[in-house]
Amino acid sequence: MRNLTPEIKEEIKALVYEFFAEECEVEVEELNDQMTIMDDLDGDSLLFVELVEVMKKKYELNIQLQTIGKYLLKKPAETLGEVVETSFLIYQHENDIINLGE
Amino acid sequence: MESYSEQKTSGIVSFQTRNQVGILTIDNGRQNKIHQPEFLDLNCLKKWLSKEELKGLIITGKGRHFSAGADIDYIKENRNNPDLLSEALKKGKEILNYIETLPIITVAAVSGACFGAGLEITLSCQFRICTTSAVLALPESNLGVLPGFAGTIRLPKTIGKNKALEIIISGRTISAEEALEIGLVDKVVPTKEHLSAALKFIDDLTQNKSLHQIRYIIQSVNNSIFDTEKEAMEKEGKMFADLAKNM
Repeated sequence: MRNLTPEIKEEIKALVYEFFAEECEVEVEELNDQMTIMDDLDGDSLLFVELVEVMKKKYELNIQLQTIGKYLLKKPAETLGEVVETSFLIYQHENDIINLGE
Repeated sequence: MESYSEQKTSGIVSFQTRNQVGILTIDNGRQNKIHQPEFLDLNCLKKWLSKEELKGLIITGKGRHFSAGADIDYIKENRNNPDLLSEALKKGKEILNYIETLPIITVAAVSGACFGAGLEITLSCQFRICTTSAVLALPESNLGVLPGFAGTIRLPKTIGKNKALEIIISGRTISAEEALEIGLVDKVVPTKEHLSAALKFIDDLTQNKSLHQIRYIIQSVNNSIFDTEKEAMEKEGKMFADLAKNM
């Protein structure tokens, strides 16, 4: 399990916010953790796949598409805050995220 | 000055012409799911293409994603009807085979997710251009099936057998960067610039060349794949002689 330092947490949160700001064409300053991806940002679940691809490259993560899919079925990430929290878990646990809470 | 044609629709796609380039846009909700293999009316496509003097065709997706792939519900609904499924796939493959052999430049302009049937559609094009954040995959193996829209045939031809096998069996995602590295895409461009880049790509490639010449070049290269070598060489000679008249 990777160590999630306060610095890494801040970095991941910034990465998530910047990603959604660019993809959904809004300013980073306009975003907050309570915003929903679908309704407030007019996004969709596939954006999460793109985000994970960015994280995989940045942090050299070993995480598969089907793992993310299965995990999100168990624990959907509907708000920006939930996406940030899930991104922390992906960073920490990679493919083992699927075993969390079992 | 740019010229645009009126937009026409067939199935889940729309057609439009811009400066002698046809643009076929997959338009089916946020994820552009391919609801069934026969995703457009082939006769309608043929009619549209025959009316226009096109130098190229771009296939793209409306909105954020190229396509999230096949509609799983359609497959599940028909899983106990293998004849229907294989017949539907055959019709879909006829569309892709037609696109693959078109004697004009064909480019898939990809953004966002490009999965399964979506990626298989892009493989019928000669070129693929994607955005930096695009994600590509043939995830069918994770659903207990295999790519059925000629992905197992066209991917090895595009990137080689070994790499294709690894990608198809794992069902893993491929980033834009890796796609460029392995030759799955030809160009990676900034977000939202895929369509303009595809238009520019076709313009640059066809600049100072006649439509006749472009069609002959593509036909001859296609003949090298689909005809015997002897036939392809004979046809090449005839096309050369025909073009030489205008030198």
